[in-house]
Amino acid sequence: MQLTIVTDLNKCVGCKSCQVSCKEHNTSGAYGPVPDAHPRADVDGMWWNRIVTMESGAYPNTSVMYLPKACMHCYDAPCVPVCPTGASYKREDNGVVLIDYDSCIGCQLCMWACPYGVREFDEEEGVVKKCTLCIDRLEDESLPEVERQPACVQSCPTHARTFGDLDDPTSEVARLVSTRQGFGLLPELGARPSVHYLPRRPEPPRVDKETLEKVMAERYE
Amino acid sequence: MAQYLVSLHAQDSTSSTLRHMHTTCYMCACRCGIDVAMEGDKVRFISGIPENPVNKGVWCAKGGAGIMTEYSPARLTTPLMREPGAPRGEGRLVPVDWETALTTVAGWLKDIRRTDPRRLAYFTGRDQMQAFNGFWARQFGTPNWAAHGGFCSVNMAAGGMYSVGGSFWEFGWPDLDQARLFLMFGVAEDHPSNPLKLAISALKEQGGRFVVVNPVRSGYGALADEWVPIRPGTDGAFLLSLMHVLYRENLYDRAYLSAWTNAPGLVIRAPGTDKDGLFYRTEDGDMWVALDSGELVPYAQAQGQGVLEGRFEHEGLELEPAFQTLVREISAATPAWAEQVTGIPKKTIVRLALEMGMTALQHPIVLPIAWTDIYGVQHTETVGRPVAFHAMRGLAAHTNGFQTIRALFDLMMMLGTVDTPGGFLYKSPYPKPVPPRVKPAANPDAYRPNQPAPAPLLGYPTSPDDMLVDGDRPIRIDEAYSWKYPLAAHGAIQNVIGNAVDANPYAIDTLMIYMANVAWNSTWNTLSTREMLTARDETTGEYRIPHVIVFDAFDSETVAYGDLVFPDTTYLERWDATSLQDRPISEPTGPADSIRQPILPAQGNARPTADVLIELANRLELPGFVDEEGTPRYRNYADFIQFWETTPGSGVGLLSGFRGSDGKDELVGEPNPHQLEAYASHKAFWQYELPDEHRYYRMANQGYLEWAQRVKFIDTAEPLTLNLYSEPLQTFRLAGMGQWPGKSPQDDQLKRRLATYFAPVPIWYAPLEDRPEEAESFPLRIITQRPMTHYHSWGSHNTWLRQLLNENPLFMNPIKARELGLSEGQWVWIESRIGKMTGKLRFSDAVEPGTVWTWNAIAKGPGSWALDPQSPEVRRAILINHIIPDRQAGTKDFFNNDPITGQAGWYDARVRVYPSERHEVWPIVDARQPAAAPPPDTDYFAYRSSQSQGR
Amino acid sequence: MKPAPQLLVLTLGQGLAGGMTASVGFLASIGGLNHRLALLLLGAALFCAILGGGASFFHMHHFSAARYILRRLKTSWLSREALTTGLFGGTLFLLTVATVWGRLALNSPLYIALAWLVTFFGLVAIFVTAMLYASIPAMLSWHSPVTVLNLLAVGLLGGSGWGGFFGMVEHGPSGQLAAAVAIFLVVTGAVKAFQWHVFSLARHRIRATTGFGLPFAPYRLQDSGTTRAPYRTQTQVHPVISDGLRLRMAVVTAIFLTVLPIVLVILSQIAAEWGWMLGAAISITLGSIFERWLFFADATHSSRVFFADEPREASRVAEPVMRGRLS
Ligand SMILES: Nc1nc2c(c(=O)[nH]1)N[C@H]1C(S)=C(S)[C@@H](COP(=O)(O)OP(=O)(O)OC[C@H]3O[C@@H](n4cnc5c(=O)[nH]c(N)nc54)[C@H](O)[C@@H]3O)O[C@H]1N2
Ligand SMILES: Nc1nc2c(c(=O)[nH]1)N[C@H]1C(S)=C(S)[C@@H](COP(=O)(O)OP(=O)(O)OC[C@H]3O[C@@H](n4cnc5c(=O)[nH]c(N)nc54)[C@H](O)[C@@H]3O)O[C@H]1N2
Ligand code: SF4
Ligand code: SF4
Ligand code: SF4
Ligand code: SF4
Ligand code: SF4
Ligand SMILES: [Mo]
Repeated sequence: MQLTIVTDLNKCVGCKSCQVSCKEHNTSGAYGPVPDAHPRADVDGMWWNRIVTMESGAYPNTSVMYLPKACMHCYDAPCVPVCPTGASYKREDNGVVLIDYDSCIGCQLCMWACPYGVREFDEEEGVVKKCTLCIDRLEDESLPEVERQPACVQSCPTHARTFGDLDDPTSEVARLVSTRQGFGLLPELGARPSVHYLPRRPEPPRVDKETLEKVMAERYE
Repeated sequence: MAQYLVSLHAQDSTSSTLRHMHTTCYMCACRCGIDVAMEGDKVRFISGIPENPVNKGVWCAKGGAGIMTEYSPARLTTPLMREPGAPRGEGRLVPVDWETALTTVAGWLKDIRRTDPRRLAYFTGRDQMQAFNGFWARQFGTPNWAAHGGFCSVNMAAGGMYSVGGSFWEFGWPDLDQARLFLMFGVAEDHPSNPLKLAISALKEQGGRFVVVNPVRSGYGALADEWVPIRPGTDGAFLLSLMHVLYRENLYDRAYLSAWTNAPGLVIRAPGTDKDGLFYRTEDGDMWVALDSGELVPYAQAQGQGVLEGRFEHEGLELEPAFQTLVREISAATPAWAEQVTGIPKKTIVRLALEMGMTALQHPIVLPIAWTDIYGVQHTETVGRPVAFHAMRGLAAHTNGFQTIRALFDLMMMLGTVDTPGGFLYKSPYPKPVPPRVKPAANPDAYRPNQPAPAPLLGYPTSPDDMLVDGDRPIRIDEAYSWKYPLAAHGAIQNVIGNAVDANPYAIDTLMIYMANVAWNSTWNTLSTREMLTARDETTGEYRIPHVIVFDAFDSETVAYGDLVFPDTTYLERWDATSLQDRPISEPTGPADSIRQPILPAQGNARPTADVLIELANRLELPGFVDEEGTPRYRNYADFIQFWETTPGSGVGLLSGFRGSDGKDELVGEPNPHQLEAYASHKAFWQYELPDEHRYYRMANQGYLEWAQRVKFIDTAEPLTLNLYSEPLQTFRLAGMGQWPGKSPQDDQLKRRLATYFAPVPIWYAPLEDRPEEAESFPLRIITQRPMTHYHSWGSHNTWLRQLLNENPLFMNPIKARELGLSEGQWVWIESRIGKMTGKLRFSDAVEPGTVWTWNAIAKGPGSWALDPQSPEVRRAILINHIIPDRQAGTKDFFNNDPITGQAGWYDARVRVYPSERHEVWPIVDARQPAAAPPPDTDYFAYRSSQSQGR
Repeated sequence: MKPAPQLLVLTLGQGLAGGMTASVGFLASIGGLNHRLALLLLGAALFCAILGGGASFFHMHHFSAARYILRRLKTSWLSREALTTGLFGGTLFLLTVATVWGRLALNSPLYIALAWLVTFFGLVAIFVTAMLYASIPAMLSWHSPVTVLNLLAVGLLGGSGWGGFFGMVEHGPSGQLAAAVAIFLVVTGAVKAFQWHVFSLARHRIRATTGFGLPFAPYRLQDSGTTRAPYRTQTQVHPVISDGLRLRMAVVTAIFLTVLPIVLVILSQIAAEWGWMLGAAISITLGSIFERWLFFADATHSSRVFFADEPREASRVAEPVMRGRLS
């Protein structure tokens, strides 16, 4: 089993709801707090999920893209073997990559090892923290069904995010990845991220070229 | 130093059990339903309520960060009074007790009401209790009340109300569950927030095509299948040319126009007379229309058979269908012309028009829903034109915005998409008559000492006779409903300070500001506005605005200008209602409303503003608030929400659910003393689903209209004919030409404005800031956008939201930058005709080259919002309001407003941009004293609702 | 990335200690070791090793977990580093004690063998440390065998410089010592030049096409999630040094690490003055510090694609107002 999140870039508007709901849940959750520095001055804080905004192409063929980026819960998670204490580990039962704060020495080697820059360092507690796939929600049986999914998936106002087991070919995430050309980031680095993204699929104009050319030539040139 | 918000020790084990409370979010105007999970006395989690019709379980970045707003260091916790002898504006405020504050203010207000109630000006910003505030001001007897619409989007509201008796936004909605083509004009990233995100997601899911018309591509626009970069202020030309092509290609819905709009109505052509351009009407006031046979019949009898074109003569009068006037207007609007104006290639214009027309007419949606129309015709199915639109301030916030929005609605009528599946759908209680039948009292005598105003203070004039003028002199301090801004349906808050300082048309005594940051981001020419707030009379040395009262929950820039400041609670600490009497949260599928309830105790001595206003009303013994003996009817706002009725015995109050003594009535019913409890136990909202046969064509759906009359949405079940042609506008034009028999302006300039801008069919004219003589000197247009994560100035004291955005560059297209010899990251001067400021340049290919833009309301004044004066919001963020002109170019007499509605022309400002020798943000205003010493900053701040699981 | 002082001290100390131990072995092997020389070199090596070890200890932030550090010997180069660096430090200490104790004949085969054994442990420690850097694919600049060569070469060069100096103080000019230093100078110069090439390739590998699957380059990062890139929490990415600073540091490094020492070594031989050799040793040490600073500061991490612009596009990251707080 490999639990994961698939984000549809055709729907993500970059609203950062998932970025905030992540902090909101996790700061008081089992792996919190998710701290901030200098809240009144030049604030700089920890976020386990960051929405990257990217522009590409030259005007007027400009494309603007939003990319929510949290732990990819990699199949071959490079952060795990480098960790000297075993604090970083991948759960065998569900593929979630977690950190045991009690055995983390705060060496930050795992931050170097992670290709995606999703691990963040808590100076006060001396440990590295990151997205847990909301494991404390997933496994809390006292929660109502709707909350037994990652906070970022639950909050997403465009339903761009889908949660499920990628190893189960019948799951929604597996179906989306296979039918919509789902891709992982930086594949050349070999981490085999389980988190996937679905590419844009622009709808073409509803008028065919010939009709348009004809109308233009007849009446508007 | 580390700071945990919760103590490490004192947590008993029971506190880890969660309590779920339901309420309505107030982190923006969307009003989503939220579930607030409490752990002990701390907020553990805020999430969306799945059943809630607005957000259907999702929530946004602002909504989730509500936790940090609750625990904001900028909260006001006690009434404050300006330190004796201290000048206004420096923030030197001292705490006072409630009794002192209330007695002082009641004293001022009593005096005003006894002498001249007009000397109280009460203006509110993004508040969500306009029904209550309007009622309060009316009972006080001043005409000088309005909410924020004047500086916001009155063009959008009025443009819709004068066209279709509804509008976008809280009044109507694109049906993206069914639309095949969706065009969005001038909407930034978040209007509205969750509902539009859900809708766009639905559109994508069903494969609809999404086109965005905007000088900037971001937010929703990023998802568009096509981006149409338009020059700001030119959408009117684009829309007219779309109509031009639709007409020429014969791709418009003649049947729809004839049956449901006034397009076939015969207009009198008699230039130079008082009838010119008015409808030729029957004795009962119905329009005459012509049939194919040439015979004239009343509109109601034509049953949609009236012809749209031709010329007719009757009893010596020359007549033509209203549509003919539109055709004349659009005939010159060729795509080639529009290309010159808008920068959009004519081929794109033609293609988009073809796409719209063909989608609407050749690919209709047909739903198996039977309905009966106003002509008694029974339709076995419902036909939809699946072309949907959404638009906002990109159209509205220009001085030609009203006519542009009229053009958009006329285009929608041509396509036949108003209230049809896949098109534009009304939200209850809309549609209303076009325009809705409410008018303010126009007579100066209506606003007398010690008496309430006889009519609501805001409404929709239908002719010059409805103007609030005494000759040419405005009755209202904001000049709303005067010849300057005749259809200022939301008032004009942006005019108030300037006019009050100039004693134009008269001096006021007290300015009450609720929830508007008028000393900063909702003002223009900010530095001079701040000076006006502290301007003194040379002879007496007194302030020109003698008293300023501020109701705010946080230590905003405006708080520093209060002589008295009332501390409001946060939204998690008060009773409140979102009401159909205000701006509805209804869905196209039926009416809905919701409540807020106190989930946390008020902090310090903060009190809900509505409670304070009710206390003041009771002390002033305002009619409506006290009975004949002077006994208060309402102890507080919770009482008001439950017991107030639009008129005594009407059965219609603020909330529509759980009415009647047993709580079983809906929409109409006696007040229910347990109504709020009922809401609280129903997840804080109420919703009514219209039956399918009442869901579409509601302006002409007999069954719906009868039902709407029964539940008092409308007075009579008459058809609500859509106004392709606006006769009310024509009456003003007649007044401008000196041909109106009733009230008319005398001043030539005023007359000229009416004659020029009040065209009964949509026109396009260049924004008033565009002056040929300045085309070279100020070549660029500067605009702002709202970011998804911030609501105006509300986000910068929120520790989490601050991090998402706390500085803003000026975005410029590299093509333009290269032309101007500017480079990425460079400091530049941004200069408009009223002043200059600095900013840091950031390249972006996602902006039209003639436009520069930045985020709205990120910059903050030093000393406000409990921020460190070195904060990025102070040191690295820019506020372009400093250089947005407050007055129209070349005159002191008019504000930078739309000449029809008084809408602030925010996005008309023109600038030049050139290298700056200053490498810092400038101007920066003097630091003010914070209302209370802010807590010390810390290296490590960590919010936990409980330490039970902590390390 | 942000060069952590602890890592600078650790890698420099470890390298110098290894290099100096190698000098001891070399001198012993050529019969040039005397007691004073051995004590000086071993003392200096031990000093460097302790400095490095101490620094590495303080690089941990959560001391109570230190006891778990050897748990992942099977996979973690850091676990192995703890072991090998400890082994090297320990044996170096024992060798020093044995030397002070004075019972072992300095140029005896046993001593020579022991010295080379400790040197071997030193080189293994450097190798393991270097592998820690080289084995991380995400550290694009380091993910190459050159990193191993580089750390070994710079360490040996530094050690040989000091070995040469101390040797010259004791024995006067020695062609063999000078030749050893010169060889390391040339080798290090070559390795360094090659590594800078690798660094430059790494910088240019930062591409949105793989990072984002975007169809059209070039791209422009407009937002990394928070207004500014996260300085405190993403130390492997920020700050990004400018082209100018990189060039200046590379020039300074080249001068101090190789060019100047070569001149000084030659001068030391011509003038037969150990002062020139001292200059060379100091220059090499300074050069190593610059080299190491640049090694960290200029390293490109793959996640930079999500935090900074493409090369030649200015970074969107604004100047921090409170420099002090953020450094
Ligand atoms: N350049 C530029 N300027 C603009 C615009 C633009 O697009 N560009 N947009 C304009 C528009 S559309 C609008 S609507 C205005 C908005 O401008 P404003 O209405 O002034 O809105 P805010 O900045 O939100 O300020 C409202 C005040 O409400 C206070 N507040 C927040 N919550 C509470 C509460 O619970 N109780 C009380 N009593 N007070 C509270 C805040 O502290 C703040 O002082 O800005 C206008 N200004
Ligand atoms: N997150 C968040 N949400 C909000 C608010 C907020 O402050 N924050 N404010 C609320 C309020 S009070 C309001 S009024 C609404 C406003 O909602 P919007 O109208 O979406 O907000 P603006 O930011 O004014 O966006 C104006 C858009 O119009 C574009 N534009 C400017 N000029 C033109 C033009 O001439 N033609 C076209 N086609 N486009 C143009 C701009 O590029 C921008 O994208 O948002 C509401 N929602
Ligand atoms: S910082 Fe903690 S989790 Fe990361 S590698 Fe070091 S010990 Fe492991
Ligand atoms: S994304 Fe990074 S932290 Fe997450 S599993 Fe992969 S390598 Fe580890
Ligand atoms: S899964 Fe949970 S921890 Fe991970 S990003 Fe989403 S909300 Fe954050
Ligand atoms: S919440 Fe959804 S739409 Fe918003 S940024 Fe996250 S993934 Fe994108
Ligand atoms: S959109 Fe967000 S901030 Fe606005 S009401 Fe909904 S949850 Fe609250
Ligand atoms: Mo607004």
